[in-house]
Amino acid sequence: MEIRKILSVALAALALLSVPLMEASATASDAERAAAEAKAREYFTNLEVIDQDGNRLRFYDDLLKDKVVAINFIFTNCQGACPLMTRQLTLVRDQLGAEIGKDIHFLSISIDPVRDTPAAMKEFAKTHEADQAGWRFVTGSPKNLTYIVQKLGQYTEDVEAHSTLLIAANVRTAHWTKIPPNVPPNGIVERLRMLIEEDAAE
Amino acid sequence: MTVNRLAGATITLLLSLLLAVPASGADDLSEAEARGKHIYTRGESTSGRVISAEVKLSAAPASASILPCLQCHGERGEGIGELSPAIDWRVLVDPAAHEHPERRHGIFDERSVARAIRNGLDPAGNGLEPTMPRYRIADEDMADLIAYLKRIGTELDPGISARSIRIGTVLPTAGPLAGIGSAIRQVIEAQFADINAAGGIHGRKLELVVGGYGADDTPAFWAAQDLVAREPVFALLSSFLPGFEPETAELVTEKQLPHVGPFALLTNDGGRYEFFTQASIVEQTHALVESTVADGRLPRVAIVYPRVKGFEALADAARDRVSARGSVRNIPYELNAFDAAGIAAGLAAAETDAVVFLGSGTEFLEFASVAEQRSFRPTLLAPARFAERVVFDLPGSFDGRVYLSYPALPSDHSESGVIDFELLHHRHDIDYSNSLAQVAAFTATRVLVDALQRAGRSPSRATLVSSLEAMRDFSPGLTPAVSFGPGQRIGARGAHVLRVDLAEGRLDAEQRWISLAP
Repeated sequence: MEIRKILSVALAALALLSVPLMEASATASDAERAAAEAKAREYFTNLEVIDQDGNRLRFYDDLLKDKVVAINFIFTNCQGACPLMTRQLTLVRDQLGAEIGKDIHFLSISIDPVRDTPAAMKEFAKTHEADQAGWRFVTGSPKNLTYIVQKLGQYTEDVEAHSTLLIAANVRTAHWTKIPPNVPPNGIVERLRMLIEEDAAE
Repeated sequence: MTVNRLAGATITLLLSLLLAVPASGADDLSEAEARGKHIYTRGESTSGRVISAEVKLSAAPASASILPCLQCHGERGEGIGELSPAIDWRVLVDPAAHEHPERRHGIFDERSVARAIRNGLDPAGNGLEPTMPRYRIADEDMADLIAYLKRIGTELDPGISARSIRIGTVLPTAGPLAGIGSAIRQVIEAQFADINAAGGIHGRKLELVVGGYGADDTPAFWAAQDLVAREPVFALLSSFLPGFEPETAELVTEKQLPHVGPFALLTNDGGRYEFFTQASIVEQTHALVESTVADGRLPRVAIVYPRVKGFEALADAARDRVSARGSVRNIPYELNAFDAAGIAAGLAAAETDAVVFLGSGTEFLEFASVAEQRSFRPTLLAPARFAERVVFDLPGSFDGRVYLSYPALPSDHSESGVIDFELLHHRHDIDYSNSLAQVAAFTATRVLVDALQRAGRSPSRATLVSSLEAMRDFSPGLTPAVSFGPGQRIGARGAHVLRVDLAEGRLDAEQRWISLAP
């Protein structure tokens, strides 16, 4: 069980790395782009999730495809890192000056879907002044959420010991990065700007 | 002059009428009272102004949020003994209520209450108990707090109004378990309808709010979360949330929400607010182990169980329970990897006298047949829920050695209980499918209704808990008598253990009630 878990996390991390490598060597022909996209959709899954307003969304098509995203992991009963991390993200949002929901999308994924109802996610978002267009707080069936979080390489059995990592990506250019929690907001802002300015054609 | 006096009298009359209304339990607090309640319960002002508290014996003032009034004076201002007296307004202005062991004083008014809170002095100028903090609090906040002290104790809890008591239940309303959900719902609604037709409980009608799940793949527990968040209910009744029992227990504990008769197979540890009417598999396992005791001695007993959530703890608890009289071996196996031959060989080698078996019916048969092949014939014991279906397929050589446990049996039915149950079905056109769930819901509703009736004219969740805790030998009609107490949350603490007559194909060869009184 333990081994399998470690293996799956390792595999996920590997896959995360291999996506950009694979993409970098690709030329921008439409067929290749489509194939790469299909591959990414398959990897990250297109499983259904539910946002804080009760909208049912496809993980890849609705939340990742062609977007620049900043992803963190939360649970609404969290007394520790989640509120701090979310606070940090709101500071980043304020400093970024980019158009949220267009230039960049924020995504907070529940790692305790059993307790995190859409209403609880909404409440959490409101409390942190993050309930806005372009910032989705997603939860859903535990099976789907666990799978997605595993695919992002952030799954742990114990929610209290969950990942405090921020994942940032330009899905269009298939550039995925991990930002450790100790990077100050202006450092995160800088990295996100670079991702936003990246162009698939380059 | 006369006109003035008349006007004065009229105003007094009007005032007294107005004042009389909240005394019977008005629901809504004024804005000032609500702000005051926030200060009372949390030690924080909604305005953001700082309130600090200083305790005589320690130097630095702390935030009042660490020492809110509520902590010592209680949710209803009732106080705790001599150290923290009752502080609701009726007590504060009662001339007879201010004889303390060390000091006495006259009644309080708004000014002297403010002085007590800020300077720790009673109306006569005596120092209050040293444990009472001195608060630094702005005048506006003090006014709000005093407004609330005039109301405290008269508020009704969430889910209860002058006319109704709203009870919640969380059930499968779609999907494979919907039949069980609908059985529970029908039986509760039918009983509520009958009670309401007879005038309700102290004039209040019972309303049932159902949190349904099963229509999609979202977690069943969301229905519980949403029900509690969306619609304040006074108590929960007979919720059926298989697999989410620990989360449910956590939720009702956090919300201080009594939950009567959760329909749960395995769990019996729901904390302070869950009241179980009958023995779960946990107590049944204890009873099966206890039933093997002969002449005060425990034979060599083993508990064989699949390694699934909850079973490890229950097997350990059963073992610990009898540890003074002998030892029990716990034999876990991996789910879907039951090695009947290996386990039987091990138990035979250890000369095991009795096996409490908590696996599936099929595994039970498999185990018995490999044991039989080795001429190993221990006493076999199992909860009826797991084994009743297969028990007559056991090898005949085990005759006289097979026992099943039941939380309730037809022998627990009272004549009036049976009649009431039948009439309920007849009057409300309910069929008899899912009868186990129906009986559980019938029992839980009767327990709740009896406790509510005894909880007085203005019940709170706290008085409901006390009233449930005061329940002794209440006969719900179809199941064993229910008694709760402080720290006692299993209503019928024990189980029937039946010897199975394999030769005759009878379940009632010998019947004993194993009491698990602590």
